[in-house]
Amino acid sequence: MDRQGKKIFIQRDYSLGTGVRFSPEFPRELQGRVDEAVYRATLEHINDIFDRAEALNCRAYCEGCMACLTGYMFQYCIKTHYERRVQEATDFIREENRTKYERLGVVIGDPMDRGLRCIEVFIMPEVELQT
Amino acid sequence: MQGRRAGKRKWQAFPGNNKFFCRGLLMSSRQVAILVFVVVTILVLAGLFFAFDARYLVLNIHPVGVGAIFPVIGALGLFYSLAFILKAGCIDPGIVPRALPDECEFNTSLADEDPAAKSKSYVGTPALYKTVTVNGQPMRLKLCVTCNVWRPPRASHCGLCNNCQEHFDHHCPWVGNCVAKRNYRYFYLFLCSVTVMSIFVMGCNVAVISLASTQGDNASFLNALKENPASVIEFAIAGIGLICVMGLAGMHTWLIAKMETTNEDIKGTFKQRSRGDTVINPYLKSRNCCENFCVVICGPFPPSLIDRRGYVKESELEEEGDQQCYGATGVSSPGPGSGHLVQEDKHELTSTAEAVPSETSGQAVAAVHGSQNEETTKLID
Repeated sequence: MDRQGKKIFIQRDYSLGTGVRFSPEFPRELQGRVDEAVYRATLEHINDIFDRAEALNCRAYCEGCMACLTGYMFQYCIKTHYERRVQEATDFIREENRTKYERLGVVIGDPMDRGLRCIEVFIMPEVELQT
Repeated sequence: MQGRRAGKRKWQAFPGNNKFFCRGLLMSSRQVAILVFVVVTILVLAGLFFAFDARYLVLNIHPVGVGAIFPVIGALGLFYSLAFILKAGCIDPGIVPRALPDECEFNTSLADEDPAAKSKSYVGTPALYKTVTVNGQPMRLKLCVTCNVWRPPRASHCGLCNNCQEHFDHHCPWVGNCVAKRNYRYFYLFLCSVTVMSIFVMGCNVAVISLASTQGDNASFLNALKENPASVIEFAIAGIGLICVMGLAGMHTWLIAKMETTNEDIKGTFKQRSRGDTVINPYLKSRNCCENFCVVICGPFPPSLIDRRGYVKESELEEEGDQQCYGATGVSSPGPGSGHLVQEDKHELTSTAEAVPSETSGQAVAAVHGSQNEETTKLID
C-alpha cells in the first residue's frame, strides 16, 4: 500500500443476468481492515436496492403503462422508481461510510460515480489512520 | 456567498461523437438531418390530414358526432408518434461512461491470461477478454480499447457515436441516435405507432375518396381524386412510410419475442454452431412472449449513467486534439510485448459478449439487413 492509499474496484456480477449487481466477494485488500461479514452485508444491501429498482412487478408495469399513456412526458414531472432507488443507494452508502467504514480508513464510493460499472473502494494508508 | 461554479460540465467535455441540446438535457448523434426530415414529414402529413381529410369526414359523415372521432384519433396518433421518435432520438440511449484513469490499469489486470483468449484479428496489440457466466451460460467480455471498460454482456461499441452502449441494438440514422437499453422501447413504439397511423391515414384517404366519388352532381372516382389532391398526397406519403416501417416493426416484434437484439440476431450470437455446441440465450428467462413484451415496453426506466450536467474534475480532463475531454480517450496498454495499435478506435470492430464456445464470432461485420428496408445496422463504420 503506498502513501497515497489504494483504490480497488468491485466489479459487476453478471451471474444472474445483466441487472445491476456487484460481486459480494470479499477483497483481499480489505482483510485485516474491515470485518468480512460487515462488508458482505453492505454489498448485499446495495445489491438488494438495485434488485428492487429493477424488479418486474405490478408496480413497475403500472409505472410503465402510465408513462406510455402520457407519451413518457410524466417522467419529466416526477422521479421514476429507479431514480428513487439510486438515491436510496447513495444515501445508504454515505451512511455506511459515516458509521462504519471511515473510522477504519475505508471509503466506499457511489457506483453511480462510476456509471454502475463498479464500486470504488478507497483504502487509506495505515500511517494516516494512526494519526 | 459562493459564485457560479467554474469548470466544464460533462456534456461539454464528452468524448463521444454526440451533440447536446438544452444545456445537456437532450443528446443525439452528430447526424440529425434525417431525424428532422422524419419529424417534418410527420408534421406535414398531419397538417394535410387535419386540414383536408379530417375536416371532410367531420362534415360529411352522419350523424355529425361520429365524424369527430377521426381528428381525435389523428391527434392522439400525432402526439404519440412525435413523443416516441423524439424520445428515441434525443435521449441518452444507454451509454456506458468511459473509465477514468485510475480505473484503467485495474481493468487491464482482470483480463484472462489464456493466450487463446486473445483476438486473432489484430496485428500488434491483442484484445483482452475475460470470461463470466450469465445465467449458466459462459460469456466472454471484451475490454473496449476506446472506452477502457469491460463491455457488459449485450453491450457494443458504436463506431459512429464512438460510445459503448448497453443492450446495443443498432445505430438508427432515422432517429439520429443509437437504439440501445434506454430508448429501445421508444423506438419500437415509434415503429408501431407509425405503422398504425399510416394505416389509419390511408384508410381515411380511401374513405374520403369513396365518399367524394358518390356525392355531388359529377360524382366519379377520377373527379373525386381531382377534387381531393391532398388525400392522394397523403396516401402516397403514408404508403411509403408504411412500407418503410412495417417490416421493421414486424422484425422487432419477433426480436422482442425471442429476447434478442438486432446486433445479436445479425451476428448469430445464439445460433447453433456448426460444431454442434449448444449456445442458449441466457437472457430468455421465460418462453412467454407476453412477458417479454411487458419487460421491454413496461419495464423499469434505467437512468442515464453519463451525468451530463455534472462537473468534470480538473484532474479528469485530458487533451484530445484541440479539445478537452474526460474519461478514456485513447488506447489501453494490455501488457508487456504489446505493439502499437494498428486500427484506429473509430474503426474498431465492435463486439458484444461472445457466448463461449466461440472463435471469431465476436468480430462483427458491416451488414445491411435485407428485411430492414431503409434501415442500416451499422456495427462498424
